[in-house]
Amino acid sequence: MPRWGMVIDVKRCIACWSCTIACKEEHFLPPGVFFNRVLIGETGKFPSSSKLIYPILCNHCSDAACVEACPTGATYVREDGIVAVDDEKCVGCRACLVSCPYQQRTYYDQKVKDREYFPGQGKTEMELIGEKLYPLKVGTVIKCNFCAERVDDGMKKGLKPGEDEDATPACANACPVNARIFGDLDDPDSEISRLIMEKKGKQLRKEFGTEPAVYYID
Amino acid sequence: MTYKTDEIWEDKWVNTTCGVCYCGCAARVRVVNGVPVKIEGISESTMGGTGSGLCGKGTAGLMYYHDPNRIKKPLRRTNPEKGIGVDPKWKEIEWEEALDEIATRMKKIMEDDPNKILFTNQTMRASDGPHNHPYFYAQAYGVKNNGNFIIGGGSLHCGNAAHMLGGLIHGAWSIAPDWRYTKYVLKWGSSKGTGSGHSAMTNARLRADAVRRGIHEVVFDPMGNFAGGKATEWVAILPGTDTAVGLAIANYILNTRGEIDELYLKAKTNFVYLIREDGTFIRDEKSDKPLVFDSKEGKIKEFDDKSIAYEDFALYGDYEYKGEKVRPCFMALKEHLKQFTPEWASEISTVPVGTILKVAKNWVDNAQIGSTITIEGKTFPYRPVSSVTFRGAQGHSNGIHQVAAIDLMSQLVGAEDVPGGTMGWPSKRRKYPGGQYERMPRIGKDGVLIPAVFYSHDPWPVHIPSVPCDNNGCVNFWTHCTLSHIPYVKERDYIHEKFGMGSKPEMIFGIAANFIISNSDWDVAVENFKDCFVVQNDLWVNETDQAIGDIILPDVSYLEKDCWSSEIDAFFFSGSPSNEDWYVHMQQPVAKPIGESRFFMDVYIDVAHRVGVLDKFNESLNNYYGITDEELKIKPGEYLNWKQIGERFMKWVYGDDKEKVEKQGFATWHKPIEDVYWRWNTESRCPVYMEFLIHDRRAVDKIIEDTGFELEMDLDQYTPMPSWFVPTSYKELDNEYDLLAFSYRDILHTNNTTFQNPYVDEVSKMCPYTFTITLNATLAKERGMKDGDIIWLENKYGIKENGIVKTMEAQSPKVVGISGQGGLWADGRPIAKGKGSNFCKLLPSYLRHYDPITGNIETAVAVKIYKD
Repeated sequence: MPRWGMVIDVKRCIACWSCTIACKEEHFLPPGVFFNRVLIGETGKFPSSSKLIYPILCNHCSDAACVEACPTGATYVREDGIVAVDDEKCVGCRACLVSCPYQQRTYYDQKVKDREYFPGQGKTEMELIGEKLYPLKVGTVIKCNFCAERVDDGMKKGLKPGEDEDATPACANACPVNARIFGDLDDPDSEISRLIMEKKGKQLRKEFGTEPAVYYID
Repeated sequence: MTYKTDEIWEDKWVNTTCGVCYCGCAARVRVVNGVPVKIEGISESTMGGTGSGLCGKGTAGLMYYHDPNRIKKPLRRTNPEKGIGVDPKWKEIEWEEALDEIATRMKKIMEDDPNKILFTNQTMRASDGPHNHPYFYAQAYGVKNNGNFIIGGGSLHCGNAAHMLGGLIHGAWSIAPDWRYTKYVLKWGSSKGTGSGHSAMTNARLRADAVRRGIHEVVFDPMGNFAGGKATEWVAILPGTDTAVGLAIANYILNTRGEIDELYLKAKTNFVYLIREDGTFIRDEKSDKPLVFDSKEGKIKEFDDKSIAYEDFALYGDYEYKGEKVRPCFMALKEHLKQFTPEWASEISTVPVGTILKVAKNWVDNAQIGSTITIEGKTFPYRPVSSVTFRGAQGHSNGIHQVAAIDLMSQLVGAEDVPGGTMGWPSKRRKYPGGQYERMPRIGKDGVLIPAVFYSHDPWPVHIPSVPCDNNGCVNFWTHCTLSHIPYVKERDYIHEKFGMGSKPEMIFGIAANFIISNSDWDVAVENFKDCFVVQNDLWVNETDQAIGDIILPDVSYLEKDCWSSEIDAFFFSGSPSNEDWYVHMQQPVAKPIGESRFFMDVYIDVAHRVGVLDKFNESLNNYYGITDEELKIKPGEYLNWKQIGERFMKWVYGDDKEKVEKQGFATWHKPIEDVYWRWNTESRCPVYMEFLIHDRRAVDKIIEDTGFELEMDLDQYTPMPSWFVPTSYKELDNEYDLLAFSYRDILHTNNTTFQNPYVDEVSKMCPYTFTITLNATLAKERGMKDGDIIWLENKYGIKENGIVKTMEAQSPKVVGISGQGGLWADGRPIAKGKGSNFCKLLPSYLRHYDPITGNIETAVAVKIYKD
């Protein structure tokens, strides 16, 4: 069984936000809800300062704080490492929201559902059809699921996640500069394992001790 | 969570071309039950990013279709009063009524003087499509040349100097590093490869691979953000002073280090042409060709005399010709450059002397002069250094010299259109296999390349300035403008009067240009254009439409557009500048037009038909595509819409593969390696010694004297060698107005249309710089300003703009940064309204604020900053 993970190459990344927006389209997320974001800042002093860009998403931690915090077992780690939420079991207590050290979870309530991209002008056809294509359950917590639907459907078709786009998370496909590489962390020959090894991939705030499956290289 | 499929009767992907900026990346759109729901790139095409990658704003392009604020019927102003803040009191009218009024007005004006009609065009494809056709559409009305165009989009901030030199040197609209093979890249006020410029995502993809390969990228820029923030090394420089550093580097190469690519200079530049003491070429009396010295035979000959081997062209020496002392103009350059020391350049630019010397040394070390590389079995000179610029550095009142200085360092080491060097997008477009349409550059007067295609105005051959002027832009006088600045200039009427331009503009017709707010001082723009009857094809009512529009026609967005031609002629700045095959994408409709919107080309054809000039337009289309097959030509009296024209012309362009191309939405065919690295396969010479400017100066002086023209212009810029001229903005600095405001392109935005996109809007709010005014952190502290403060920027003419402070370390302490064209107020674009700050309005619009040669506006402005 693979363990899915992602490498984000911050040297390649140009902060175009494609990952963020493509994710929103993929999951028909309402305004203000993001499974992917880009943190932008800088370090150093003029004239030796440099820009910092960190695209972030759920780290799909193997020792996830959210899983530990969930009282109903709704949040769980799948066998392939993806941290998922079973919306039938989620009661919306939001303990996971508080516990996630990476702030990657959103509580989806009626107010969030009612948001419109063009406020006061009604939902667009895209927003309406999105509610059917990718129904989100009111009163539950939602988050990045590494596009588990794409991964699962793709694998059923015999496709390889990370190589075949139809089996790969939308954010990785959307990146115009190949800064997001998806693959199997448990396969030492996978591209991501090789990149982590060669470029000394780092997990974000490793000291939290949750063992993220997202690595950064520069 | 699973996809619910029981209500889905359609789920398909349609290939098209992205229309969110001018780059035209390959894009495919998922359509479910007739609703476009997702956009991504096309893996099979190199037009754009890696695989199906597309940039953020491209991905967000769906919202162009879904925006409920799109206009759905023609609108007619009912309030005769015009201006910013005046309610136009729109009334919806029928198409027939709108087109009838437009045609009637046009016919009446044409009976008098067609040059009283101005046309707008713009630089992005949400509405635009066939780029070049609007220019010769205008000609069908009898409009003489490019002087009657008003540009929207990037306006005059972008392009005139860069395009002029791009055309003259590369036969291309734009330049980029050869990312595949380069090792050392200098970027000057340009974000090529980091999100902006032509073929933005193609370049970003190629750059990312190059960065991983280990190239060294030095960015000279007032701020370390999109380009500088990603560079190996960001060097803070004051806006508009790149010339100084460029000339100091050129001086180092030629005079200090003395390592140049002599064979290149002898074979591929006009530096071997002999000049008199006054700097002009000596020419053969009969042929009028410039003369050179054959050092082997010791004879003066015509420059293209086949008996001279490249190595025998003299770069040095003093000679005599018919009693006159003459010498190669390269000698003049060598002497000229000696004055530009690193210390001098440092004083002007704030770039440390050590940095200038280090970059200059690395440049020569990396140039590998004399080395070759073999690619696909063909051997080329290998020069893995590239120096590129675009909007930032060239957008100044000294723009032509900025670009020429930045180009000069590439010329000296022979790094032009060879592997690793600076590339113009290939100037050639070979036939699609089995097709007929081909565009190849020609060699013109003095051996200079004439681009195969160039929008609006060929950069070569040049024309001597003359009066009277017969067009609004007075391009008879300002002959090097790609698009003229004069329509925006405050003293426009004075200029028209002095230069004999008697046709006061009465009508504006065109495409979604927001020229009131995107160039310079808004009040001047309103004053200059408000008396015209303004008709625009647009998606929304933008600021220009609201301020001065009379009839606004609902256009289709790129997602509803059926445009076979959209990329056919974009090969000279679209597609890949590197060693990758040709790709040409079509725009195919992914959804039905919103409301009663109509593709502007069909509206253009309809109006031309009503006015009675359709045959002329059709004839120019036949000629443009070079159609000789009588069955495919549009015949006199025929009325075909754009799609019907495409049915015929696609057969001409793609032959028997027409249907295949239509089906897949794009065509691709092999680009031979010699067409990628074409420099040594084309018998052309770069006019780096701009001798024509000496003749221009003489003509300009005479016209100014004859007409009593008194406006200030920096006429000394009419000089053949790149030289330092102080940008106008610096002349307005004093103790009170002590900072230079500048603007830059944010990766999320294309001019101002993207401000109305809610996807882009919400991520813009998360980006610290997009909607803010940036200040160096130390400067802000000194002024008592901090993040989140509202501050005012005010120029010397009392024009002011406010915005939210964001401090950053990576910005020169002498400048203030604003990301482009925010500060919008049109009621028709509620998402955009009130977002960000508008930089353009702060730019004064007096003639002295423009590059006297190319017409670029000075895009820095002296300001004072203060809190409320």
